[in-house]
Amino acid sequence: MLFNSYEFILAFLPLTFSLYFYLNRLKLIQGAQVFLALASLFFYSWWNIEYLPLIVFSVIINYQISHLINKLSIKKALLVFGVIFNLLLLGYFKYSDFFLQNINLAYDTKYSLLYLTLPLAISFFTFQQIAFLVDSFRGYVKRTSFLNYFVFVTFFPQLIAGPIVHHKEMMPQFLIKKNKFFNFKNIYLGLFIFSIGLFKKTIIADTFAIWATNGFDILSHLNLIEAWVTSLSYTFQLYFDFSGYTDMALGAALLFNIKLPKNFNSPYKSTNIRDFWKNWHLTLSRFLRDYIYIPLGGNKNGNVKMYNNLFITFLIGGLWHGAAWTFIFWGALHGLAIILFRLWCKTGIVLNNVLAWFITFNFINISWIFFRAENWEDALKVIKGMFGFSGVLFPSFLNKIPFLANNNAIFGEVFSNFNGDTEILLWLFGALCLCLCFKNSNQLLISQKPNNKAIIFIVFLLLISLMNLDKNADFIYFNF
Amino acid sequence: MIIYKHYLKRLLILFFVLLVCILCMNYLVDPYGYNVRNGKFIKNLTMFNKPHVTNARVNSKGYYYLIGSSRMARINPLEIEKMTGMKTHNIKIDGATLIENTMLATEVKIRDKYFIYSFDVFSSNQNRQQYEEIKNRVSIYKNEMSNNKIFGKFFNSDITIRTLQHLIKKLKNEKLDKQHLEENDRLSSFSLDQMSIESGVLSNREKANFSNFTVYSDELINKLAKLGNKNDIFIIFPKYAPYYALFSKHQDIEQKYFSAVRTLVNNTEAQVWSFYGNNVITQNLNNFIDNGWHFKPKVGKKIFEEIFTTNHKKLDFSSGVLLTKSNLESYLIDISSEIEDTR
Repeated sequence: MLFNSYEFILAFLPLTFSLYFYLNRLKLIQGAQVFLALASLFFYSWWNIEYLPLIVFSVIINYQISHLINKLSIKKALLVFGVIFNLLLLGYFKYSDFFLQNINLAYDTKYSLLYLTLPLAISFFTFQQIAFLVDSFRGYVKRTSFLNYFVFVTFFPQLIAGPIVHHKEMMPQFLIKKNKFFNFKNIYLGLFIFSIGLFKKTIIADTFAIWATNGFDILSHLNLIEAWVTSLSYTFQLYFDFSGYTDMALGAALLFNIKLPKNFNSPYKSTNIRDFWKNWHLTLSRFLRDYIYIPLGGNKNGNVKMYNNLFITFLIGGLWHGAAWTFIFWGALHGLAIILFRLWCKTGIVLNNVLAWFITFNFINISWIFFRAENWEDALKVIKGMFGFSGVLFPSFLNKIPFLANNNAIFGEVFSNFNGDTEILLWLFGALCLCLCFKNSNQLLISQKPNNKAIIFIVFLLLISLMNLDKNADFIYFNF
Repeated sequence: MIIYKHYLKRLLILFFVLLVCILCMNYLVDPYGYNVRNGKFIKNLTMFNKPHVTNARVNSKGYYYLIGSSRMARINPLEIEKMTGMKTHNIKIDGATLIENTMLATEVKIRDKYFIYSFDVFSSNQNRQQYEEIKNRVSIYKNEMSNNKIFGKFFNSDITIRTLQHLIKKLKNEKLDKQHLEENDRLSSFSLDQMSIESGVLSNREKANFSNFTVYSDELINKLAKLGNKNDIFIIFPKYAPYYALFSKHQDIEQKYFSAVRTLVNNTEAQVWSFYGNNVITQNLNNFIDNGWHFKPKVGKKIFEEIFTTNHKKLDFSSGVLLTKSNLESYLIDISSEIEDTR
């Protein structure tokens, strides 16, 4: 079920919310948790019930392994088994075709592809459970009931696309007694951040999606301005889509008195690539740091090893997003950028903030092209266009500039391939201002005090967003 | 905590009151004429290409559904309702291909309703189907048609803006059929050269409607034909006569199209009306606008009067022919030779 759908906003969420608290009010605490788990499974299987047994199976097996790790002495063997089990599951559904394609290409074989549908949220619940097993092995996990574990993994606000929650921050919250009762403050704040997220998704991200899709998937050739419009549109689409989703997840969870970790902190304000990763998809960065980078050795064994570990971590981060070389390349680009940044820091040269921001933002913008493109050809099409290799078309009003006119510049309708939408420029400028000059939703949430202005703001966002739900577009991170 | 409770109450009340108000306003004004076409602006009834509006119309109560390309924008569904007494919706798509039109006709038939289908020459050009923009549009309409949005029908930003515009226009006393009146009064002036170049009949222009004219397969046309029963109508709308000479002269468009017409007529139970060739409508320059590409709305009205009237003597002119399996061949030979004579 999509957060940005009528069925979720007008039926599922209010019904689940009401029944959950009603059961708690009747002192049916366990019943309420069972209900929440069932509601989450219903939410999960709304699209495709086919993969429901898979998630249930995965949760049962992981819980049992963690239980045995706590109980038996063969802890390491159990951990290895558990991690392999999770990786095989993820690998089979997500990477088998990618693997077969590459085998066919490398050895000129003709293994037929499996064309499996990717089970929703598999990347998220796999990572979440691997973390749980590793922490069980480390002895950080207290004994918990199966029901509590089940709700931790399947709790619907974070199930489909994160944030990738940690058992330490989630499981205790489900056990706190006061969380079982209505909390008007949390409901108010939940609605506040949910409405911001819904607005980000339906109004901003879905508008940019039209131009990004046009440039990446429909047009076969992009001139300079079209290529920049395409890449920037995707840069903003991705941010507003994913941070919008996260805001909605945070808001929906808050209604149930559960605080999810924040996932974004104005990443496009970053003036270097390290800052960017400290503010973008925070829970994934945290997972990669704690469960990949540090186990690889982190920064303990000298600089060369540390750079190596960083690069491997980013490659895995790229691969986690999708089974394609473009994702791996995207991860490699970021890994290299982080290493270069560390080397740069050693020189002691400090760049001007504006220049540093400009370089960082453009690097991110260009690297997203490989993240978005369906294949290398599409990525190169956009890159070539951005650097003027596919022609430069100037807007007609510039033909009065003698320098351009005398140098055989071509003038014309710059946005004709984008349905003449000159408003694109306004949207891009507006989005950039929103990213750079305003508080982000988490900062707004902290400073939020209820008053008439605030409720008008929330109602406005909710109504405008609801009126645009008919697009019913998927969230980008549903695919990962 | 009390302050949060207080403002939360206010928030929810304000939200639901506004939601209900907007929903009721849109439902009562109904600018796109989902429920009633009377008293609606012609621009909203016929001129927009919006998948969500098409979907809402197909899922609204109706008898006839007007399917076609921009020529259908010159048809006022209200006029057809007056002639037939049957609820009529316009679901045309500007520049529609046979694929899109067949998809819409299928959707109409799934719901046990009837179509009036413009079987146009340029919609039959399969070559247009290769462009990504058109492929993309087909899939957008297909996706849209797969959803029956009950709540969103009268609660979306587009219908709310249209409702407000409708109310403002009413306050300003704007004529309901302003756009059609303007087109009727527009000066008809265009040259044969312009027509040849811009239409693409010379295959000289990428993405022009008639460039590399290749008609869709018989299988596809046959599938369309089989959708129709005796209450459905196919219409071959008129173009300015010199076009027919161009079709006869270049790329063998005429014969390719006639072959499609043969497949249609021989395989359908629906009525097929043709206004093709040299006749009272097509030979009058003043009946056309946009390089002779579109007939004026007043002509559209006459075409439907001719189709729906039971007493043809009352009409001041007659130019359409109801094609049947028995008169088809002689009709095609006759109009072809007439066009040949005027080339």
